[in-house]
Amino acid sequence: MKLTHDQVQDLLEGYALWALDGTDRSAVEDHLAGCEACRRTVRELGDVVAAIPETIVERTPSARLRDRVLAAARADVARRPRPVMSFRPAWAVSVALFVVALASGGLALRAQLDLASVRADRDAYLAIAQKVSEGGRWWYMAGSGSFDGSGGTLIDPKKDGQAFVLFHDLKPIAPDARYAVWLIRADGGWVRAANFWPSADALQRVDVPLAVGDFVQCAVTIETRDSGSPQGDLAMQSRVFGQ
Amino acid sequence: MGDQERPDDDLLHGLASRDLTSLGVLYDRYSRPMFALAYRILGDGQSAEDVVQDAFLAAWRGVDTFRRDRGTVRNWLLSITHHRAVDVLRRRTAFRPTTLEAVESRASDADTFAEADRNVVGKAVRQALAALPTAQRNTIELAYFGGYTQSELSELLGIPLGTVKGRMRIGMLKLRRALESMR
Ligand SMILES: [Zn+2]
Repeated sequence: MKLTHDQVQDLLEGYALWALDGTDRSAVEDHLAGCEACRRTVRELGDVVAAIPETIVERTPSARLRDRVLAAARADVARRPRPVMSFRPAWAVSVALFVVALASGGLALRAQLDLASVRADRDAYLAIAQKVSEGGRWWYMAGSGSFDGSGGTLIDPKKDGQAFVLFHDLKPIAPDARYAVWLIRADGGWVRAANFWPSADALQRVDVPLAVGDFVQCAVTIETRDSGSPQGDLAMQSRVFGQ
Repeated sequence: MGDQERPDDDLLHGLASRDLTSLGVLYDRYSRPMFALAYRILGDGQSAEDVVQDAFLAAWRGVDTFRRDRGTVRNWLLSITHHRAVDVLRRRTAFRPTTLEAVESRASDADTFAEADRNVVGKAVRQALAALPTAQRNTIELAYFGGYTQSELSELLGIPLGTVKGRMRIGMLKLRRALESMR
């Protein structure tokens, strides 16, 4: 279900109070990922909602709860090794969560919430890609020329095999143009892996329906046709041969 | 500096590096407001304690989801607690009051608005809530503490959905102004 900005505005109080059913909540979160105005309203409402529990008198739980909480946390450490992500800036966390969610095929709506506020720092972005593709391979493509500031990471997960590119800060292009993703072989041959149009979101996933294994590099160009060899401007290219 | 004086930020770093002492300090600092909130929503100590435990475990695992620019650690923990308690409440559909009278009798938790004057924010919000017309206040409290969705409120109160939303909107706006004026 896709909601308009006005429809979402109408639901934001309910959203902030956790008073929407699951369907509405998901639809609002989808919209929030791409709408700064609505996110601002949610933040403001969130401040009000956060004040409501302050009206209650504190109450002491039973003494054994403290031990239970600590025991549960201790058991959690034993069960799950140190998390992949360490403490780091919030936006980076959002990206990481998002990538993990994408890789697992799930829809982490909660993580999407903060996506559009992401302004990716290249180095940190690289580190994240490296971590979330643990065991798999990845290439970072840096935007050049008029595409400076944009970029994308091709991630080839070891487990489920579906490779994809996570782009950030894609620039708009002419209406009759499209972005083309290319995989480059060791012998220098270019193979077109996907065509796509930029969404308005800060992050965009594009699937790569090819086995990435035999390629050593990747690139993105702007093309006017869906097929054929690369003709248009080079938008970004990987410098790194990922591990 | 003793553990009890460590700033919240420092404790979160501790959580990120799996330090149980940091978790213990956070527990000592925030378990009481968290338990009070869960108890207010669920109405029994056992379920409320389960929710508090869940909330701390969620914080322990998800320390990365804390957004410093979105509010305090206290608010973050209370928000996790709120969401979890409401989710638990909603799963117990069989036990939820479906008439307004039943809701009101359950909601009259004597100590809810009793004391808490030592808490400046609490006092201001309580006054602001009390100053709202009953219909607006009920809508907000039934949603926040009663776990009712907007559609459920429309049914429960026998008013159109648009009216529920309108009451929430105006009520929240007034609360916001009241909070802003005290800053
Ligand atoms: Zn919007």
